[in-house]
Parts: sequence; structure tokens; C-alpha cells
Amino acid sequence: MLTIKNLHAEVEGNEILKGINLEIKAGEVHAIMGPNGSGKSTLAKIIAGHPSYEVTQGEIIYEGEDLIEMEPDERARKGVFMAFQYPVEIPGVSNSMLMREAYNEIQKEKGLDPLDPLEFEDYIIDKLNLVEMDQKLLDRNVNVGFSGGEKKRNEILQMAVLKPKLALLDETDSGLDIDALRIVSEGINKLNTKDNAVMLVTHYQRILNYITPDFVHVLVNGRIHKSGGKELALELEKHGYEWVTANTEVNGEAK
Amino acid sequence: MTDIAKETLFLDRLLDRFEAAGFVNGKVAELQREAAREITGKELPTTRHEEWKYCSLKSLSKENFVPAQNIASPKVPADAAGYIYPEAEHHHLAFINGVYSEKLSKTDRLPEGVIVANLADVLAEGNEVALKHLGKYAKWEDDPFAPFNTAIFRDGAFIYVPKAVKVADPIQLLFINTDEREQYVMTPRCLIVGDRSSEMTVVEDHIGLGSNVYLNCPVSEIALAENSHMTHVKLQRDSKKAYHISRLAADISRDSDYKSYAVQLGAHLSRSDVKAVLTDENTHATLDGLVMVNGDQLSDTHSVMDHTMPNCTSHQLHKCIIDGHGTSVFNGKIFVRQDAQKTDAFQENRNLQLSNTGMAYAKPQLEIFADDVSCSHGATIGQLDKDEVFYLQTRGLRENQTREILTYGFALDVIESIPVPSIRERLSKEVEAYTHESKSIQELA
Repeated sequence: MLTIKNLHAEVEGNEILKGINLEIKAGEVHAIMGPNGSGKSTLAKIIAGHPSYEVTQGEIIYEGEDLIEMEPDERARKGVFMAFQYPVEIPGVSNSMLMREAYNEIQKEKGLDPLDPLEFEDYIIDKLNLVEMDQKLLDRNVNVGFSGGEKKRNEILQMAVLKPKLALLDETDSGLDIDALRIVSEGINKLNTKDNAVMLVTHYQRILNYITPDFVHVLVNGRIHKSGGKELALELEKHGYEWVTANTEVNGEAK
Repeated sequence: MTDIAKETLFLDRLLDRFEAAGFVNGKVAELQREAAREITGKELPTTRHEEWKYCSLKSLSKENFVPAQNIASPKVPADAAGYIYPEAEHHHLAFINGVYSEKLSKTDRLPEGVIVANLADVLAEGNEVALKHLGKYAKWEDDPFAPFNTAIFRDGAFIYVPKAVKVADPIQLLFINTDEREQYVMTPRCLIVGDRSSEMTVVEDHIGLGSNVYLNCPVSEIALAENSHMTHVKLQRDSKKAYHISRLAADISRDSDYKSYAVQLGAHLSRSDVKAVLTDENTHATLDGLVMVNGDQLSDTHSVMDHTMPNCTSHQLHKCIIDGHGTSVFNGKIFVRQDAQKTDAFQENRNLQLSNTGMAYAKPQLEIFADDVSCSHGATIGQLDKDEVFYLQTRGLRENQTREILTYGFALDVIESIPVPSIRERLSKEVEAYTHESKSIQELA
């Protein structure tokens, strides 16, 4: 589904990603872990198309197409979704209106009929249960006055509504209490099928108690230093990130 | 040399084209004669004048206008009544090119003693309240436009709400400006008087039906007695080639509350001078504004918030959206006089630039002579927030949808303050149309 080759990227002249290689197939869950400032959020943002980052080398191929050349909205309509670490407040637009517009844009892309507000209401009710969210939040302006936990749940609600092929979850777990973390994780698990893939960016091992990754990659200083199965996360929890940097070998080059 | 003189004495020349309004009341006639004398020999301000630095009247001085009342049968569309807001169904005054239209006006179901009528008629009848207040407040130093209106006005609106009376539904003053071959000039006049403990909402709506050149030069005076409340919504949707040069003065007494929301969407050149004088203790004034310019539109707001006495509050949120080669100017003066201790004044001017070619000039100007006051002011000029744009795009929304949503969000807090639902609805449509238009302009470029 997604192939990243030798990806280098910079922001305002500072190189953040220094040669990332990554292959994600349908049905897989990949956890990207790493210390603060390692570039793991940047990687998610670049795949989603954030305009502040410049790709200087390498390629990102998604479903056989070059993503780098596409606008963020085009990527979204082709099934790439990003759950934000800090979801943005949008005054003046109700949550349900945004989701309906977004859903209908994707329907149009697929050549399907858009849903009218009533049909959409029926459609979204099930999805609300998935993240145990109050229906009232649909009528509120997007993320305006939402608590931290509500914002994160709202991101997963949008994921449930838009049914992306590739979901990039940028630190969806940080800042959540245990109950909220459980709800969000269970929601993500239910959305996970053999046809879609998840890239989970996280600082903490905690969320992996709920979501079992097929692969764990450790990103340090713009490079993937170690890749492994779910047990790698446990090792990391035990030894800390320093352990990885001390045993650097992955990508075939030293740090 | 003579040509220059001709240009700069533009209003003076224009005045000659008007017959005397013919008010029989001596006081009004004298007021008009005096205003005419004030203009005689007075030149149009140039950009060398500090108050007109970014607002050039050069193009205006080259136009040729006839008095609007000379247009014998203006092209009024059959559905003109559609411009009446449902909330104002029972009380509205309509003016066609500044001339009162009895046919389109209606003043039903008003509480006893409330007057909503054509100002010319009220003055002809010698209404004492109207005579007492007329011409008392609309005064600016070095300003030729208020006296120009005073010298030649005939029709306009007079609203009087008596003591302790509340007019629950808004009163609409509808100014329809028709699409004509002739370039016309009009000077509608509004006088609004709220007696003690009265309450009202007035909607002033200027609509240009075509894309023709005309000069709309309205003057509004508002006098609020003790403990009265007024909400004033002004919507300027004049023709995109018109000149809209308006003056508004509000005189606010003890314990009173005046809230003004001015929305400027139309006109090639729009200039509003607004003044609120808080004459006594415990008064409040709001002068909020929303400006949207595109193409080569210019919208210039000069406001004066004059705190003269203690314990008063004022609020000014002026938001401008600038696209194309548009220009917005905001000059907000706040005076806090020596006696005005415990004044709490807030002023904020925010500009959203959607193009690289637009201009925004922001000038907060505070003159504080009291020592125990709280005055906050701020001015910002910025583009759409990159992260907000990105967020919406990652949801699959196209750039134009994103722009529309975020532009609406920017305008929203001014729109939401307006207490008339159908105006809020109207404005969300205007924002939508504005962002669509900006897209088509971009595509042309």
C-alpha cells in the first residue's frame, strides 16, 4: 500500500528526516516510536502532505502513485487520513457538517452519490457508539470547547466516518487518561480490517497494550534505527531509547 | 489652473445642481443654508490630509452626477419587497435612490407613541423632537460631507421611541439604489431618538441593484436618553462601482447602551466616519465592524469613541477581509477625557489577507487624559492559518471549500453578535458569494 524509499525532508533548512525506508501493506499495523524530536510526527505529516516540510530526496509511493506530487486534499480523497496530535479548532463549522462535506467529497471521488443531511445522520449514529461520543458534539463547532480527550475521540470518529485505507495516527494516545485511551484504542481496533493499514506514531508503549502492532520501528534523529515485532516495544519500555541508539545497525548504516 | 479648482470644489459645484429642499420650517431652512455656506469654497480633502491618507477622492472628483430625485422613473424591480427582512415585516421604511417610497413602506403594529416616518414629513409637520435633535451631533472637523448632506437632504428616516417603550422587532430602513444610465447622487438622512428607558433595534440596509456609478452620502444621527438601549445594524451592499461616503454620530446618555454593527461589502470606495460620544456615567458603546473587499475596492472606517465621563465601557471589534487588490483602512480613535476615570475601553482590528496584492492599514489612536483607566487595543494583519488549512485539506476538502469555511470562521464573531437571524443568514451567504467570487477572480488572473 505504502512504500517509502530513502526519504529526506527538511523544514526551514533543517533536515528532519535523513533517509527513511518503510513498507506498509494492507491489513498491517505499524507503530513508529521514538524520543521527542526524532522526526516521527514529521513523517506522518509528510505522508499527509503538510506544506511546511520539503521533501529533498526519496519517494513516497501510495497505491502505485507518487504522493509527493499530490495536494493534501487529493491524498485524503484517495484514502489517506491523519488523526492530529493537536486537532485544530474550526469556529463557524459544525462537526457534523464538516464530516458530511468530507464524506461526500470522498463519495464523489469514488463516483458514488453524496448523502443528504438526514441520510448522513443515520450513517453517523453507529460511528458515535464506536468512540462512545455524545451526539451533542456533532452540532458543536469543530473541536471548539472540546476537552483534550474529546478532541482525540473526535479524530477517531472522523476516521470511522471517512473509512481511510491508510490511517496515520499522530500521538493519538498522548494526553489521554486510561479510560479514554481504552475507548480510542478499541475504536481503532474495530476499524482495522485486512483492507486497510494503520501507522501509529507514539511516544509511549502504553497504547500498544490495547492495539497490537505487526511491526514496531524506532525512529531516532531522522532515521529508523531498529525495526521488529511487537516485542520490540516491550524491550524499549524496559531499556529506554538510549538502548536503541547504542545498538544502532538498522538501515545498514551507523548513526 | 482653473481645472484644478473645478475638481477640488467638487461638492460646491454639485450643490448648485440641487434646488432648495424647500423646508418651510425656518430652523431647518437656516440649518441647510448654513451647511451650504460651510461648503462654499471648500475643497475636497486630498491624500495629503492625515485623515484621508489612504483614501483618494481623485476619481470621485472626476465623476459627473445629477440629483437622484431628477430621475423620473427609477427602475424598481417588481420583487423589491423581497429585500424586507421577515423580522421587519410590519415596520420598515423604503427609499428608492434616497427618495421615500410610500408604496414600499409599512409601519404597522408599532407600540403607541412610536414614530417611524419619512423625516421630510416629520419636519414639515414641525415635530419638536426632530427639530431639537436635527444637526446637533453629526459634526466633524474639516469634513465637507456631513454639511453636504445637511445642505440638500430632503427625505430620510425619523424614528422616535417614547419613554419606557420597547419595540421588540427590528425596524428596517431599506435604501434601494437602482441601476440607471445617469450617475446620481443622494443624501438620505436618518434621525433616531430613543427616549428614557426605551429599547429598539434598527437595521439600515443599503443595496445597489446594478453595477453602476452613483454617490450615496447618508448621514445618521442617534440620540439616546437615559437608560435607553439601541442596537443598530448597518449593511452596506452598494454597487461595486458606487461611492458610499457616510457619517454616523451617536450621543449616548447616562446608563444607556448603544451597539452598532456595521458591515461593508459593496462600493468601489466606501468611507465611514463613525462617532460615539459617551456623555455621562455608566454608558456603553459598541462599534463593531466587518469589511470585505475584493477587486479594487477600498473601504475606510474612521471611528471616534469619546469617553467624557467616569465608569463607561466601550467595545470595538473591527474585522476586515481583503482579497484581490482590495484595500482596508481602519483608524480608531479613542478619547478618554480627564473626567472619564474607570473607563474600560477595548479595541481590536483584525485583518485577514487572502491575496498577495491586497492592502490593510491599521491605526489605533488612543488619547488618554485620565489616569485610572483600562484601555486595550490591538491590530493584526495575517493570512489564513496554515495548520487550519492543512487540517481541513486532510479531510478531503478542496482549497476553495477550505478558504470559504475559514473565511466564514474569521467573520463569525461579528456576524454572531447581530441579533437578527435573517441578517445572519444573509451574511453567511454573502461570505460564501465573496469567497466564490475571489476564486473566479484568481482563475482569471
